[in-house]
Amino acid sequence: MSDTVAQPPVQAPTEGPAHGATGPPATWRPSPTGMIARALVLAGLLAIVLAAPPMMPGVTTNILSRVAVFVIVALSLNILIGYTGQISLGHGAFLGAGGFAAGIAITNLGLPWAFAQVVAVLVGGAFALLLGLVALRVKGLYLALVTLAYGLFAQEVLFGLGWVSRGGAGMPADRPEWAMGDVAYAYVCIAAVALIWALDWRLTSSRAGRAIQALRDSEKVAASWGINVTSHKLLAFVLSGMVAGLAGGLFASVEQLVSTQTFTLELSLTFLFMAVLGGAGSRPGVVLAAVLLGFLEFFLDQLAAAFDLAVDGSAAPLFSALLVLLVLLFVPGGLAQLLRGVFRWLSFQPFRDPRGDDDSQPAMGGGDGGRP
Amino acid sequence: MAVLSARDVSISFGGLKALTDVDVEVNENEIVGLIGPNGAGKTTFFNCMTGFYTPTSGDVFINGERVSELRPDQRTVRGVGRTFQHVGLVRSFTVLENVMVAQHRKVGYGLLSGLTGMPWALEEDKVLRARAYEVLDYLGLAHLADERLGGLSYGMLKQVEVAAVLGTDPDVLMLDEPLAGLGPEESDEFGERLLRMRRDLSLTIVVIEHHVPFMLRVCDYIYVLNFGRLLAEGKPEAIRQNRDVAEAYLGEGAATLA
Repeated sequence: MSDTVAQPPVQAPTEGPAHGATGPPATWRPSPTGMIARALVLAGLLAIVLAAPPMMPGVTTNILSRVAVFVIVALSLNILIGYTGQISLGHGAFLGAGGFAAGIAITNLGLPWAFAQVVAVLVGGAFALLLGLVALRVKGLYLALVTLAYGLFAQEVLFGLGWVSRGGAGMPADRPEWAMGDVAYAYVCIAAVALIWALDWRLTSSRAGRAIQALRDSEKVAASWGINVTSHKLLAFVLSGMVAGLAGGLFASVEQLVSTQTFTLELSLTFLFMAVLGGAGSRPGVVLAAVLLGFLEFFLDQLAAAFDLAVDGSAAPLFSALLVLLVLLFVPGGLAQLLRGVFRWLSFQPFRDPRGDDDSQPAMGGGDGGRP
Repeated sequence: MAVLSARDVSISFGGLKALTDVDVEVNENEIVGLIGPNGAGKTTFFNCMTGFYTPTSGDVFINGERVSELRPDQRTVRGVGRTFQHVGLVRSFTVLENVMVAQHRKVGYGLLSGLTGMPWALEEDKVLRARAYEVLDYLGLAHLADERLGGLSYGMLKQVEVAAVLGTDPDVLMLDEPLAGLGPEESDEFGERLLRMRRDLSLTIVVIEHHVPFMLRVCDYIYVLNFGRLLAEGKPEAIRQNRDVAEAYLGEGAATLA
C-alpha cells in the first residue's frame, strides 16, 4: 500500500474520469462457450414461460395469470423488505386497493382497461405513501404491527364499503377487448412481469435505488453522504405501492371480479413468505419463490387428483409455512443463498465468486453500522 | 474567513450537559484537532456540527451560513463531510459501490431517467464509477475496489470511509478517530496523507484523535475539551506545555502532555 501512496497524486478527485495507466478493473466476461451456454439456458427458460399459457389444462390458464400477479407483488414487497429494510404485513391492502381502483375505473367510470391500470398504480402509490409517513416515525416490530393493522383495516372496513364491493357482490373488472381470452390475458400479465423486472433492475442500478439500499444499512451514514433519508424512504414505499397497485389492477381482470374476501391477512403473509423464501433483496430468488408458492396449491391439487391423495391444494398454506420454517433454519438467505451459483452464472458471471461466498445478510429493519 | 464555526454551542440530554458554550473556529485550509479525555464531548460536538444533534443553544455556521437547524444531508451539500467513530459504510456494498453512493449529490439525472435507463443516466453512472475509482486510487485503495467490506480489517475500513467522504466533495473533512485500528507506521503514513490531502484538494480538516503525538505533529491548531467545556485552545506547542491539559489527560501533577 505504501508505494502507491508515495506517488504524487494526479488530480483532485473532483475532476472528470481517470484516463491513464490505472482505470477501473476490466469486468469479467464468460468465455464464448460460456456465453452460448448461458444464452441457451436463458432462452430455454424464456421459451418455457412463453409456451406455458396455451399448454395449461383447460380453465387453469388463469392460475398462470395469478402467479404472474404474485410475482409482481413479491417484487413490490422486495423493494420494501429487501432494499429498504422496512417490513409490510399489509401488502394485500395495496393489491386490493389497486384491484378495486381498477374495477371502479372500468365498471363505474367506464375508463378503458389501460387507463384503469394507471389509476390502480396511482391509488396503490397513494396508499403506500400513507403507510410510508407512518414508517418515518415507527420502526421494526411496531411498524410490522402498524402494517398489519393497516392491512386488516383495508380488508375489513375499506373493501367492505358498499360502493367499493357493490354490497359484497364484488366489483366487476372486464378485460380489455384486445385480450379477452385467458391465454391472451396470461401473456399480458407475463409482459407486466417483464416490465417490472426491468424497472426493478434499473432501480437497483441507479441513483435512487442505491440511496435506498444505503439507508437500509444505516440511515446516519446515508444522511452523512447527502442522501435525504425521509424522501428516499417515502420513495421506496410509493414505488412499492405503485408496483403492488399495478399487480392489483392486473389481478382484478383475471377473474374479472374483485371481491373483498380475497385480500386477507393470509394473502399478505403469503407475500411475506415469498420474500423470505426467495431471500430478501434478491430479484431472481424472490421471483422464483413467488412462482413456487403461487403454483403450490395447483400442484398439490394435481398431485391429489393423480394419486387420489387426501391432501389437496387446501393444504398449501401449511406446506408453504413448513417450507419457510425449513428455509429459516437451514438456509437463512433463502433460494438466493441456495442457488447463488446458478443465479450468478445466469447473470453472465462466474459460477463461483472469486472473493468467496458472502453470507452476511443485510439485517431486516436496518442495522446501525454508523452509530456516531 | 472561518469555514466552520460553532458559537456558544451547548447541548444537554435530560439533565446531562454534554457541551457547554463551546466556541470553535476553523479557518480555510487549516488542520484543526479536537482532543480530550473519554466522554469529554468530542463526538457530540461533531454531531452538533454535522446536524445529527441540534444544539440546545448556540449556532453553527458553514462558510458563514447559519445551519443550526439543517438536516445532516443538507449540511453535507454545504460542504461538510464526516466519518464516524464506528465505521460509517454500507455493509452490503463493495468498496467501489460505497464511494459511488457517497457521491449521491453529484448525480444530476432524475428518478425517471434512472428507472428507464436513459443514455445520459447510464453515461453519468459510468463517470460516477470512474470518479469513485479515482478517489480510491488517490488514497492507494484501488486494489480493494471490488472487495466486500466483510473481508477488510478495521483499519482498512476506516481508510475506505475517508474515501467515501471525499466522494461527497467536502470543503471541511471531519474525521472521528481515523487512526483506530492502524499500527504506528500506518498512523504516520496517514498523517502524511492528511497533509497531502489538504494541499491537493484544498481541504480544511477537523480531527478527533487520542494519539497526542500525532495530533501535535499534524494539527495547526488544537482545541481541548473536558467535561463538555473548552479547557484550552492554541497552537500544538502551547497545548503541549499546558499544565491544565496535561492534568486532564494524565492526572494531577503531570506537567506536559508529550
